[in-house]
Amino acid sequence: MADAWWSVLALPVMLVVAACVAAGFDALLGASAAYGPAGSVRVWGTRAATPLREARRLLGQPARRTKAADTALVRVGTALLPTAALLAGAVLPLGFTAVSDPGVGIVWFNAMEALAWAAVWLTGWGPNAALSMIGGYRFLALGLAYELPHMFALTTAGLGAGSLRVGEVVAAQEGLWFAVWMPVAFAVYLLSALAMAFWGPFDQPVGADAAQGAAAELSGVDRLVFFGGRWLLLVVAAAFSVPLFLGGGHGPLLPAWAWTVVKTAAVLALLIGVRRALPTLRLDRFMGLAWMVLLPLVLLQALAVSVVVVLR
Amino acid sequence: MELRTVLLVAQPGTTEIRLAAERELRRRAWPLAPSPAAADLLILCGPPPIPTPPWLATLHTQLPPPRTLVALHTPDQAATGLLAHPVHLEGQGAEHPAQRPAQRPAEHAEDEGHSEHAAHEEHREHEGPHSEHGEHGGHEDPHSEHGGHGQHGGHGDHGNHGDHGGHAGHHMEGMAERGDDRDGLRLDRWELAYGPGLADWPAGLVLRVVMQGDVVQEAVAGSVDGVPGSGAAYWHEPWLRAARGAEVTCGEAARRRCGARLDSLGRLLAVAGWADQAARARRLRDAVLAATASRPVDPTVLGALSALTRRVRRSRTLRWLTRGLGQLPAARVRALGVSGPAMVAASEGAGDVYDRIRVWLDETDGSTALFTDTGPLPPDSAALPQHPPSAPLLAALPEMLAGAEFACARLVLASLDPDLDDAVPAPAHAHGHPHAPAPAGSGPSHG
Repeated sequence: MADAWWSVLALPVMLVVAACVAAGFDALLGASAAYGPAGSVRVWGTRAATPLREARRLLGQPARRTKAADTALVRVGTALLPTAALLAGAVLPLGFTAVSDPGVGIVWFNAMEALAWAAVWLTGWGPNAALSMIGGYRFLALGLAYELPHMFALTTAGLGAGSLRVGEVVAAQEGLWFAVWMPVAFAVYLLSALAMAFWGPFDQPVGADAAQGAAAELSGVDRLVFFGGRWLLLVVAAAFSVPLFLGGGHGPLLPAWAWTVVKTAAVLALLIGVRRALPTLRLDRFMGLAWMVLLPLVLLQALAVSVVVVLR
Repeated sequence: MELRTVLLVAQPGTTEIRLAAERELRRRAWPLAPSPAAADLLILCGPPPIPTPPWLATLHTQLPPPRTLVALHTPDQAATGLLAHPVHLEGQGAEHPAQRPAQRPAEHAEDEGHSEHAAHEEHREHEGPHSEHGEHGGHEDPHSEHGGHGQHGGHGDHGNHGDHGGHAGHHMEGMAERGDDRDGLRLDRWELAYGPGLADWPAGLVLRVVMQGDVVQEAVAGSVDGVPGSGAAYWHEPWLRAARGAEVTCGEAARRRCGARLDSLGRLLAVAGWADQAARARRLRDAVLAATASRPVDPTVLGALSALTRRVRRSRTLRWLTRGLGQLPAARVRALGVSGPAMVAASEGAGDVYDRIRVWLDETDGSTALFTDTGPLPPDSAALPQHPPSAPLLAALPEMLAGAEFACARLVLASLDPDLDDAVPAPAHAHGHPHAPAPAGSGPSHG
């Protein structure tokens, strides 16, 4: 896998474009539930552009502060979210080209994505407000629930390839995708992708019951950066499942980059659909499921993969 | 193209205005804001109380500038001009910066644009004939937020209550002493008031809580003042009208019942984080309520309605999340005098949140068969609610919420869904109400 200078510039642009397209798709789904099917192409376009119009509104809105808020913490927290997404995205291969392909690429991804823990908690703590703080702590509970199964899912893919280098994980799937012979690890990765972007059934840290929890006090640009960062994180989390489990750029007919885009879009659509299909999981319930079911399952999966690798 | 994000706040007695506002917002595709910080427009259902109560003043300053407050006095105003009634809050410029030193005075100056003054005068004139407003300040209903103070005895600083600012639940200045929590940890206890400004919250409810972390230790339910003379409780209005001897068809009552259950269901699903199904429930609610005897409910609406109830009924996730939560067993139902779905749920099952959801779904499905029934609603119908049914629910809240984690508390509250409209005194005469009940005395009175 080759490094290319232009990929440094292309990565942020592509991630932002992907996030905008994904947000537009999500807005279409939401609008058809709220307002019924779109009557015309014009309505359809207006609905798809809602996230961009909302972004423009937020850009023009002066920020509002709460009493005795730690504004610096809020700023650091919100800015950390897109930063974490971009840094994690550095090891994402487009086709077979990534910004960087270090020997510990999988660990790098995991470390950067874990910055979101700090980001959401700081954002929740900073405003000195009750619901905001509740939301921030909910993310820590969510992290405790999803992170271990998530790490073992990542490890399993690394085991299968005998390497933590993302390029070698992709190369090991030239014949057979890891999703096929380690389905549990793939499924757990998809769940944890939802959780790391506190998306879908795992959106309790910004839950509707707590007036959007950690984000309850955000307005203007802070709000835009926070929720934009969450979209980037979701895109990156979805995109990383492609080199890990779905064979990266491998595929017939189409060029490698096109396969990456197609597979990423499919995973992203799935993750967006899941949120629409399920209510928010309360973390007191999910914690039990994560530790009693997901963790043993993914450990068994890792064991099975290890045995296959040793015998091969 | 203009996009406004709206914080919609209903006062007790303004359900019909709220429904009209939600319809209009849907027509404009303006999203509802989850919190004041996310909003740029505050819509108040009903006239703003005079003098401005602290909860409204606080809520208003919680919006980012430039903040607009619009008050809808009647349901028609929602459609004729959502932005045509901006309100300048009484006395806000004078008292507010002093109360809240953290607020920059400049923000308040922005609210005092000349264009708004004209509207303000008009607004005053509009309220002139309502003599009730004179006594509004002293109005004390049995659920007044002050009623609960006795139960707070010994926990922190009562003098602080006015300053909690947190009717929307957004400020933590009420930090009090530490105490043992349910797990034996010594944690800060904070007193907060969650109030009328929260999204998907029963209109006008104020919940004063003592919290440790995100666990509710104590809760007392109260209410802000209702809009006087706002008419009969909207969801009970056909039965009340029939009891007064007016001609009401069973179909109208069935549609109203169905709308009430869909309204509750929409609120609960929104709190449960199932935004799409909540939006569907609300859209269908409005379609059912818009129907009349001559313009029956559309077959596609009926189809969508049964699809919605089937979908919610079949959701294993929702069942997993709500089973065993917020049990109100039959013995407590009898002791408190609870009526309505919570009573049915206790008699048919364990009386938990899931049972109450199921009763709503059953009643929604059951009512559709009666939509076109043109038979008269019997005046002494057994369906006439005990008045006011919200009082026992508010009384049940402290015991049901104590020890609940915040998300559970929200679900329990949403599943009880007290309708505080019914505690607002009925009008002495029917002025301008679109569904004007027959004047009292013209028919047999109930009971």
